Amino acid sequence: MAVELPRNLGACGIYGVLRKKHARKIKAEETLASIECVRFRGSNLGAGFAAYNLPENSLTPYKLKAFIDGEDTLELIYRMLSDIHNEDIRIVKEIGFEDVEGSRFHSWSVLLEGDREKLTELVSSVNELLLRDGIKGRIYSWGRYVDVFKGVGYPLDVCNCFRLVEQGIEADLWLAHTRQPTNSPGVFPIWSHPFSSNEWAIAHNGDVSSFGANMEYLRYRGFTSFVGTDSEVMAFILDYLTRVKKLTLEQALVILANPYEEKLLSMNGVGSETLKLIMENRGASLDGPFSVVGGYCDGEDLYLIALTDRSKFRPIVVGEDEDRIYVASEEAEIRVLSEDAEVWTLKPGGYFIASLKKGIIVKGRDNDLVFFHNPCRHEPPSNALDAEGMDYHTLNIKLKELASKGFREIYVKNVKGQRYLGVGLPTGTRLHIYGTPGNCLANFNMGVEIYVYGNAEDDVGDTMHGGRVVIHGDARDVIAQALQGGEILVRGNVGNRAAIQMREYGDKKPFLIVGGRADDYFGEYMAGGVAAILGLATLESNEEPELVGNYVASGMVGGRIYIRGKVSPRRIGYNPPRLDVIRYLKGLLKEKIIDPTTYQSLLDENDLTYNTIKKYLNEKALRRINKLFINKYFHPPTVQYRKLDDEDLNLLLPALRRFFNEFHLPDKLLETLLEQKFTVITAGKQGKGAG
Amino acid sequence: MLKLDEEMVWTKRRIHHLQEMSGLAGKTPGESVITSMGTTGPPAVERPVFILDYLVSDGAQVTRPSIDPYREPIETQIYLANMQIRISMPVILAITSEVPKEYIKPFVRAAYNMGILTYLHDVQVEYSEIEDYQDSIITPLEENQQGDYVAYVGTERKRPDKPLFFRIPSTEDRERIAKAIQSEADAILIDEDLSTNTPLEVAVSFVDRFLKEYRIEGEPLRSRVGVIACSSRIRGADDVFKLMGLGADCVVLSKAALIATGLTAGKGKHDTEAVQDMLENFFTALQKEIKLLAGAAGISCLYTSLVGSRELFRAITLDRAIREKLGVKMAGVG
Repeated sequence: MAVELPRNLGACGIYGVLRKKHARKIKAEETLASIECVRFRGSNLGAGFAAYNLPENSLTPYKLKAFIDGEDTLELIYRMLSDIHNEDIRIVKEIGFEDVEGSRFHSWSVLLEGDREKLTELVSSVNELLLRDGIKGRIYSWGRYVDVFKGVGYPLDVCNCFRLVEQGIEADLWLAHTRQPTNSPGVFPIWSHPFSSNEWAIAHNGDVSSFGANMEYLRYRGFTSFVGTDSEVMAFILDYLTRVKKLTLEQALVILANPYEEKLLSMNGVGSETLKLIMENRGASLDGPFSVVGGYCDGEDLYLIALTDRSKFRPIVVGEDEDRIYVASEEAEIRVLSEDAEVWTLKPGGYFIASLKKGIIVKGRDNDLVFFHNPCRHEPPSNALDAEGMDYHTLNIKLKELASKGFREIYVKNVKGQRYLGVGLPTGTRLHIYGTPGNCLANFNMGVEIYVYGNAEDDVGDTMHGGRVVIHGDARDVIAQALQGGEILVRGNVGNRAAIQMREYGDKKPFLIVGGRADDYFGEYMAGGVAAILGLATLESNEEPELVGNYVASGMVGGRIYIRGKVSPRRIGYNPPRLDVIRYLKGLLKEKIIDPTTYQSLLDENDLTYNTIKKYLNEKALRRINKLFINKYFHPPTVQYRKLDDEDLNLLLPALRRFFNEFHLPDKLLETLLEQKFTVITAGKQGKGAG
Repeated sequence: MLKLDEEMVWTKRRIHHLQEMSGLAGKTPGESVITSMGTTGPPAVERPVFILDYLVSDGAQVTRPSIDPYREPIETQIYLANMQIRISMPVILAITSEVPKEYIKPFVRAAYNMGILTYLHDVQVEYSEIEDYQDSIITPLEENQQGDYVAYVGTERKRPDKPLFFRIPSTEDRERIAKAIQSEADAILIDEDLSTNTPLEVAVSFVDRFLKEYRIEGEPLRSRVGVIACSSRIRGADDVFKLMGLGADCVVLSKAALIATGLTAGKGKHDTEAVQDMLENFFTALQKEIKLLAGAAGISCLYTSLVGSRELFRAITLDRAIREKLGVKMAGVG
C-alpha cells in the first residue's frame, strides 16, 4: 500500500535568472541559494534546474538526457538512437550516467548531431515506448543550449546529486523549481520540473484547468507521449508554436496568456489580430491558476520569459539590477542575490520577456504604470536580531522568546522571505522588520504594530483584528483580505485582490491606505471598513494614469472605497461584454423601443455600464436590458466622482494624517491631495431581479 | 430520433427547472435555479437516460479555485466560421414545426437580442417577417439524396457568400463526414433527430476527432471547421456543457425552449411579447448556469478551454467501448 509521507503545506516555488550582456555567468550555488530561500514552498517530491548557455559562435551538439531504470531500457534507447535506418541522427559522444537520488532511476546523457525534426519525432516514439508497460524511463531534455537537472528531493538534494556546485557549473540563464505535487505524483524524477522540449524549458506553479484542451491540441500535432504535468504541456505548446508554426516569442506567449476578449477588442487593430491568433490556435491557451517561468534559445539569443493567469491566482515577481534580470515566486528569492534590484509584479494575465542581448523586452506591466516606489533603506539598530539564513520557524520562535522576555520593541534585520512574521506576538509589541518579510505577515493580528522597511510579499494582514502594519515599500497580492480591525498603511503599490472581503463590526472599522496604485479586484466582496488609493507618485504630475485595475468593488456589499482621480466606469464591478450589450441595444432599435439617435449615442460611449445606459434609456428599454446587468446576487456599486465632503474627511482624514506622518511626507502634499476629486464607491442598492 | 420515453427525458424536475428559468414558474426569471449541495441528478439518484447522464465534470478544488461568475468574468462567447460569427453563448435556438406560427418572430427576436443564432429546422416560415434578423438565422438549402444539406446564415434563398453549415445526422460514417468537408462548410451540424442509431455524444466526439486527424498543411482541419451538436433532447446547461467537452463548439436546442415557455401542445396561449420575454429570461438563466458549471471547473473561457477537453470529464459505470469512443476516462482514474 502506498503511504503518503507527511509534508508541510505549500505551493511550488519558481525562479529564473538571466545575466546581462556585460555581466559574468551565474553560478549554480547562486541559483541554489535563491530557490532554497523558498524551500518551504516545495516538498521532497521533486525539484530541478535548467541551465542555458549561448555559445559564442560554434554550433553545439544536442545533449539528450534520459531517466533510465536499468540496462534493458538503456539498450532500447541506444538501439533506437543508433538504428541504421535512422541516418539523420548520429551519436557524437556518450556522456554516461549520473545517479538520481531516492529513486530507482539513473540519468543518462549522450551528445547527438543531426536533423532536429527527426530527433523530435524519435524522442516522442522512444518516450511512448518507455511509458507503454509501466514506467521504464523518460527522455527529459534534448536541446543544444539547455541542460536540465532534476530529481526527487529538495533543490539542494538535486544540486548535490548532479554535483552542480562541485563541478563549478555556470550559466547565462538558470531556471529552478521546488515542487509541491498536486495532480501527478512526485515519487519518480520523470514528474519533476523543469520540463523541456527542444530549446524550451518551463517550470510552473499552479493547476491549469485547460489541461484537457491543451492535450487535445498537442495530440493532433505530433505529440504522443505525456507524463501528465502542466509544465510539460506548456513546454510542448511553446516549442510547437515557435519551432513548427514559426510564431514570434511574443505571439506564442500571448496565445498562452489568452487575454480577455473584452480587453483585446478595446485595443483596436492589434487586439483583433491577437484574438484571431488565439482562435487559430484554439487549445493552446492556458486557463486556471498559473505562474510560469521559462527559458528559450533560438540560437541567436537567449530568453527568460514569465507569465501569469488572467485572474493572477499565483504569485510572480520580476526584478532587474545592474547585472541581472530575475523572475521569482517571491521577492525574497531575488533579494538573496540582490539588495538593489527593482522588483515589480506581473499584471494579471501579463507576460514578461527579457533576452541576453537585448535586456528587458516586455515588462509585464503597462509601462506608464510601472512607477515603483523604491523604499528608503533604513539602517537597522545595532541590537537588531539577525535573521540571515534563519528558517521561518526558528525566526518566529526567537521573536516569541524576545516578546516573552518582556521586549516590546523588537528589531529584526536581513529578513528574506520568512513567513508568518508578527503572528502570535502579544498585543502592544512593536516589530521592526528590515528586509523582505515573507507571506502571511501580520495574519490574525490582534494588536501588534509592525513596521516594514522594504517591500512585503503576499497576504499581509489577512483576518487582522487590530494593531497596525506600516510598509515603507510595495506590498503584493491579497493584502488586507478579511481585514476587520486596525490599519494597514502602504507607501508604495499593492498587487491583485487587495482589500477583498474587508469588513467592520461593533466599533471595529479597519483602514487600508495605499500611497501608490492597485491591480484588479480591489475591494472585491468588500463588506466594511475604508480602503483608499492615493497615487502620490503622479499627484503633482500632468499624467493621469488610472490607479486601479479592473473589477474594482465587484460584489461589494459594504464599506467605502476612495480612489484619487476618475476611475473609468468599466473598471468598476463586473460588466457584461460590450458586444453583448450592443447586440441587445440593436435588438431594441429593431423593435423600435429605442430610436437611432439614442442607439448611436450609446455606441459612442466608451463604457457601456449600467450606470451609463441608465442615462439614455427609457423605462421600457431599461426594463428589457436590465437582465444583462442585474441579478439576484449582484448589483452594480454606487459610484460618485467628487471632492471629499465633511463626512468623508471625518472618516478618512485622521488615517491620512497618520499616513503622511508615518512616511514623513510634507503637509503641502496632503493639502494638494485633499483638493483633488476622488472616485467614491459604496455598495449598490439591492434592486429587483431581472424580468 | 432514438426511441425514448418522453417522460424519462422530460422529468417533472426538468420541466419545472426550465420554467423557473423563463419565469413561467417561480419568482426569479432569468436566474439560475437554486439547487442544494449534492445532487438528485442521474446517474446517482434519477435514472440515467443518455450517455451524458453518465458523465461527470471535474470540480475545482484547493489548487484550482472555482470562479464566481457573478463577480468575475467567465467568457461564454463562441466564434464560428473563421470569426465571421460571434455568439454570446454556446447555444443556437432551433425553430421546429412545433412552434406555433405566431411565435416564430418572438423566437427569432429573443435569440437575436441574446446574441445567439436561430436555426430554421425543417419549418416553413414567412421570410419577409423576419428579414430584419437575417444575419442571425440559419436557413436550410440544397438538400442531397441522403437528406444531408447545406444551411447558411441569411434568408435570401440563394447560396450566398456567407457562412455555410453542413447538416448530417449523428453518424460515424467517414464518407458522409468527408462529403461535408468537401462542401467547404464552415461548420458541421450534427442532427440527432435525423438519426436512428448513433447517439449524439458519440457522433460529436467522432466528428471532432475526425476533423482533428484530417490535416491540411500540418494543421488539423478542426481549427477551421466548427462542430455543432443538435438534438431536441438537449435539456439544459448540463447537456450543453458536456457536449462541448466532447468536442462541440455549440449546441442547438429546441424542445427545451418550448417547454420553458409553456408552448408544448395544448398549454394555453400567451401574448407574443410575453413569450419573447420568457425566452430571453430563459437564455439569460441558461448562460448563468453554463457559467456556474464552468466556474465550478475553474474554467474562465469556454471557447479555448472547454471545447473537446475530454480530460475534464469522467464516466461513471459507462461501457468501456463507449468510453473509448468518447475519449473519456473512467471515474477514479487520475
